[in-house]
Amino acid sequence: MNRKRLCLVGCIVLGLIGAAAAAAPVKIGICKIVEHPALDAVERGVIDALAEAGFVADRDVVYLLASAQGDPNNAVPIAQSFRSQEVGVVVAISTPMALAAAEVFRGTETPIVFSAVTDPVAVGLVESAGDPSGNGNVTGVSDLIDVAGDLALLKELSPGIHRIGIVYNPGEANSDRLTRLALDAAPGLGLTVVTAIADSTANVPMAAQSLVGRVDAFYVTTDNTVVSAIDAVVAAAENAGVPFLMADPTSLEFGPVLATGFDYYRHGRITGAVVADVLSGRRPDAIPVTYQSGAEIHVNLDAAGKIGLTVPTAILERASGLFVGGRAWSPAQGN
Amino acid sequence: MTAILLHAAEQGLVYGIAALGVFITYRVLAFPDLTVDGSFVTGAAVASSLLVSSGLDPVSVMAIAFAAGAAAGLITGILHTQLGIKDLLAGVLTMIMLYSINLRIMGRPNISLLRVETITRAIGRAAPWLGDAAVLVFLAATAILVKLLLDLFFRTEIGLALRATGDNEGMITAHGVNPKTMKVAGLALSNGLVALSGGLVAHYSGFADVGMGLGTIVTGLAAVIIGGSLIRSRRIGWMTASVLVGSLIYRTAVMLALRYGYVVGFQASDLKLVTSLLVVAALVVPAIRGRVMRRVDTCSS
Amino acid sequence: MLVLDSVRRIFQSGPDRVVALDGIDLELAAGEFLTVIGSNGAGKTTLLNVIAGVIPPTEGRIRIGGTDVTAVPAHRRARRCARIVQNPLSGTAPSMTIAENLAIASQRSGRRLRRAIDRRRRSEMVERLRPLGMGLERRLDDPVGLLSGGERQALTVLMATLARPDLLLLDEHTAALDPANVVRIARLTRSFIEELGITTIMITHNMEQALELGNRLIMMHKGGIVCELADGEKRRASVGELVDWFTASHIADDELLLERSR
Repeated sequence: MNRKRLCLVGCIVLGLIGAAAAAAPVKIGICKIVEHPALDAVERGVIDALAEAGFVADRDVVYLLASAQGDPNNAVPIAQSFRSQEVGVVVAISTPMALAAAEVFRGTETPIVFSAVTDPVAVGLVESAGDPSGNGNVTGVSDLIDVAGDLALLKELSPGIHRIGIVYNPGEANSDRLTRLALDAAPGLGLTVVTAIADSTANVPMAAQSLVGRVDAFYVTTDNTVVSAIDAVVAAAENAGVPFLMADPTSLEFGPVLATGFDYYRHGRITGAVVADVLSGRRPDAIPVTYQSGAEIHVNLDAAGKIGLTVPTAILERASGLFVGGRAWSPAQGN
Repeated sequence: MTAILLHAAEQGLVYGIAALGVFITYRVLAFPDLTVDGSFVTGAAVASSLLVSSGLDPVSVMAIAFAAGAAAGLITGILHTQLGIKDLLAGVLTMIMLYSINLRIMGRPNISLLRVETITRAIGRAAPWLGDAAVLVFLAATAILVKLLLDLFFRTEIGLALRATGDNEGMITAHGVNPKTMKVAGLALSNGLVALSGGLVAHYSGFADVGMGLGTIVTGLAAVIIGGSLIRSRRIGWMTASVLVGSLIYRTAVMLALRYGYVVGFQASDLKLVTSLLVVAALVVPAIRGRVMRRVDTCSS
Repeated sequence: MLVLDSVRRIFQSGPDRVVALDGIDLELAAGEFLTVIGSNGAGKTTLLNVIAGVIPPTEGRIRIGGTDVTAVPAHRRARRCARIVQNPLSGTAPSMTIAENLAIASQRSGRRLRRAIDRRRRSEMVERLRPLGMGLERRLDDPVGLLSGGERQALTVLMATLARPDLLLLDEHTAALDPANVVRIARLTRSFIEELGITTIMITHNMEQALELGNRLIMMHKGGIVCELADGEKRRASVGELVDWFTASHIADDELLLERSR
């Protein structure tokens, strides 16, 4: 009897050891189109979120990091490289990278989790955002901004605001999409949108200056090109004496009066949560596209003061953060 | 490893068609043509937007992409021969114009071909017995067909005249050929091939991106120069072959750098440095080999 | 065959004004062979360039074979008019083979998408190259860049006459060659001209050559024709007489005199 129990325990122990040994770490391929603070923050967010969800690096997961270095022609080779290394999950940050990964892994069982893609349906990445059953092995997180909400916020900021100026690069998918959304939403709010095109960082100052005197407010969405030269837009807005709303809360200190949206680190964490879901066995065609919600409002009172603007209390009450006297405050610290 | 080499070969062939285009202007006509950074995307733009929006089959779409590229080359040719604008500048001007034109054709900065039947998927469906090698076989057949047609062309009366235009413009003028006509024809043919390559790359990659043309002249020249340093013959058949060989070597270098670069401690951001070093190595090896050969010769005499 | 009617060519660069051709009137009948001599800057090369269409005349008209070609561009004029210049490297495409160069030269117009070199054409080329006596017929597939200056100029002469032009313009085409090749090329040129009866204009610094070859001679100075000899007069004239005439007219220069003493 004792011997039998010993055997049983021994078998169970051996079985457990075998199972542990057989569970080799899952390779997670994280790829992005270019090195850029926002995209780098997404990458960090994904890794941090997975670590906190219990997926330990080098034990449960191994990370393969790649960047296309701004050249879309590198996107497919990167995805092919991941495939040859039998990556278990692909995290594709930005639209061109997501498109390449979806094509290379088309028809396979490898899940693709995209991130920082503004409109996955319009660009053809997924069939439907709400009903994932036809999306195959693709799911992910969209950084779509509530553009209409931002425009309404500007209107609330000052009743004299009718014309909104947007500086953008039509060559960037996300930016292009958001600008079109703004153009569509404006009439319904009684506003007009005036656009100025900057197809490279060098052209941003000129584009911004061209709007001075023609608009009552400046608006910039998640546009890598314009964000790289944001000082020029801040200067133009100050020149014109009008407020400037930027859809990136981490940029508040650079001078816009208002900053809304989400920061990309948080976006990365949300993506990491989806990856954790997938690693736990949930299929991508059962996970609808995640749209970030709960955009924050941050107010820069110093900038408002520079153009002699009083920010309505209603907005201040909703603000998640303030920038006054040269430093940032959060509501928890009291007003 | 075989999968990586297979993909490297696929890319070497499909980008090799663009390299053949660069060969025509840079080597044959001695005309540095920057239009290609724009016409490559024009081909991709036409080949993807037409496939998605019209009911045309992939082959017709590619033919139209070629024609669009030829038109771009025509523009550069007219700017240069009729308006007297210098070669480099004429190409740059067309390239800049194409940026806006390409965006218009696409209607958006990127187009996904995930859900349509691209030419690569059509081939896989038409010849299922080829399995995983279907795309490689198709691209190889296409690239070799283009090469052979080019060789044939360069042996015709007009083809000879085109080659002589780049070699000695005064001589060909003295034999009744208008060098301006030859240059325009060469630019049209070259950019047609570059656009065809762009269209094929878009179908191969499953998407088109308005920024995918940047650096086409560089990768094209890399292929021409690497190939030219390995195969020295001036016979036209060998020269076009060397371009394809150069493209295969270059793309293999890129793939290997991506896949194995981490072994020597390279990070994701070092990709461009690594591929440049590999190109330098590819250029240096034949030079070293030449020097060794010469030393052997002198020793034995 | 060739008519120049009050042809004037002025080069203007800011305040500097050079009258390279000062009202040239010239008529050349088919089959005539004109030699042109003159000091440097006399306008000899400009004359040939204007006839070939490389430079347009400032004034005047040019007719080749009865057709007014004054406004016709160089490459179209080249259909009837062939040129060989002093630089032996100018007339051939160095990266292309002898066969390919000859194929190009075998037509002056009407190029199609036809195969340029077939077996029949190759054997024709061998037949044409053999009389040159330089062994080039065995090197049909060698790139022309490998040939010596003399070989390339010989090839250029053959190429110029291959498609039977109506007019042949020679601009000191043996001047840059070594003595052996000078003789060879001169002989070659002469045989082609005589065999095909091509109307020819030849510029030369060699007065003996100028008197020996051709049936007419003109001497140019400062853009004008200052002396003209034809047929019998030309045959009877000697180099010494010519030189004396130049010196007396103060229009000789050292090069002309040096040539005379060769």
